[in-house]
Amino acid sequence: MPISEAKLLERRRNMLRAARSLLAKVGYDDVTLTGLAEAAGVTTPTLYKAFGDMENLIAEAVLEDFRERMTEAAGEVGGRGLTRLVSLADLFATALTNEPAYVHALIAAFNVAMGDTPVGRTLQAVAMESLTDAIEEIRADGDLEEWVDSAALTRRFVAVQRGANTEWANGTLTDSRQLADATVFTICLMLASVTRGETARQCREIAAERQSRMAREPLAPQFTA
Amino acid sequence: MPISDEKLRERRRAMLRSARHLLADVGYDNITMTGLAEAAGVTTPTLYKTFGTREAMVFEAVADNFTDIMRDVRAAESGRGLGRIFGFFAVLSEHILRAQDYARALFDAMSGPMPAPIRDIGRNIQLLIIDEIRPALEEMREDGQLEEWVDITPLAARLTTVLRGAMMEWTAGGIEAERLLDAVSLSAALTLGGVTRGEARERCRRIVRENREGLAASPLAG
Repeated sequence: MPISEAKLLERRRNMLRAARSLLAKVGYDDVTLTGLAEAAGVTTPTLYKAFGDMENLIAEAVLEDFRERMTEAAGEVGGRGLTRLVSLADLFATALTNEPAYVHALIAAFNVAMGDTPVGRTLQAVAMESLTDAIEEIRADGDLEEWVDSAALTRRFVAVQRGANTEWANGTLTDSRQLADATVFTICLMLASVTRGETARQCREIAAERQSRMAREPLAPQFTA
Repeated sequence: MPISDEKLRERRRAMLRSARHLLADVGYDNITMTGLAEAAGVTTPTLYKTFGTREAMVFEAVADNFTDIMRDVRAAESGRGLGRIFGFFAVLSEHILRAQDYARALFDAMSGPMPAPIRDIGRNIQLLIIDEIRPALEEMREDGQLEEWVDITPLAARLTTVLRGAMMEWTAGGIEAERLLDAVSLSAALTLGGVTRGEARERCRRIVRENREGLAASPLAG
């Protein structure tokens, strides 16, 4: 009796889920195909057949999860332009901090090996797409300076997110609230310098509001220059 | 005959220098006391006596280098306010370009879920950079260039986030080393353009426009 398509799909999803748990447990560098097969309760040839190679399996595991979060996020995120942009940045921060172990592993893979792995490349592309769309909405409303390239601006936003994520990973930003505030504050300042009208005004208003929650006094450094 | 203090200091600095070379070569995770001793041309007991632990030695090696960088920053005297901030970032980027393998090893170590000693190094560097940016922002405030609602410290902290993000873009392969300063300048100018007014704002926007093209055109990482 042949296995139904739904059954196959379910099996595939189980393997991806197992891969994510393993990734969270041992970290990107220590994931092996044997380990993955063991975690999924299947043989390595099965994994090869289903996903090609390990990189591909991890990429798909991470992307499936990321897309689900994004879809969920998009469903929750209302508004357009700046409102949507800020909500997306907030959601990225919350999604990150909900599952620290998994995300710590991801950040390690994302930051260090981003240039070399399909995971990093696709993750960044997906994140950028939604942000670029929101920037283009601001343009459609006539509030973005003409000379601004939305893809280039998005790259700056993603760099901010990456810097802030690392500060969360090293404990400088202690929770999702701080991570979200730091990211949104900076992105709004950036946007304020290339927008006009109502959007520019709102950017400053949001930045001021986020600033009021951020720490005023940093710790003293241990080594002095 | 006892060794002079100066001679001892010089020896210590030579050991720290070789520790940085080793970090550049093998990465933080692969540094051992034996490797450090070999690189420095001394015995491991000498290293233990001098630095205590591997972590303490690496910490001091990084601090030692950062002290040199900050000395250069101060020697550069790139003016006041906004000019001082961009001058500071230029000196930092220059140092990174000059010791790319070392900088990459350090950033790689600081990019993941990091061990405590590396976390301390990262935080210390960030705090020192904040300390360097704050007075420049104070100058901008005195000169009436900053909007009233802006708090200096959180803004300085976020400028370090922006700096870190651009550096990581480079270590992750998203931009070429030669474009690092462009990316840093662009991000910093964008950020400061949102809190400045008058001529300072125009200057930030000019920097954004000057640096935007190469970055807009460069493809996604990989």
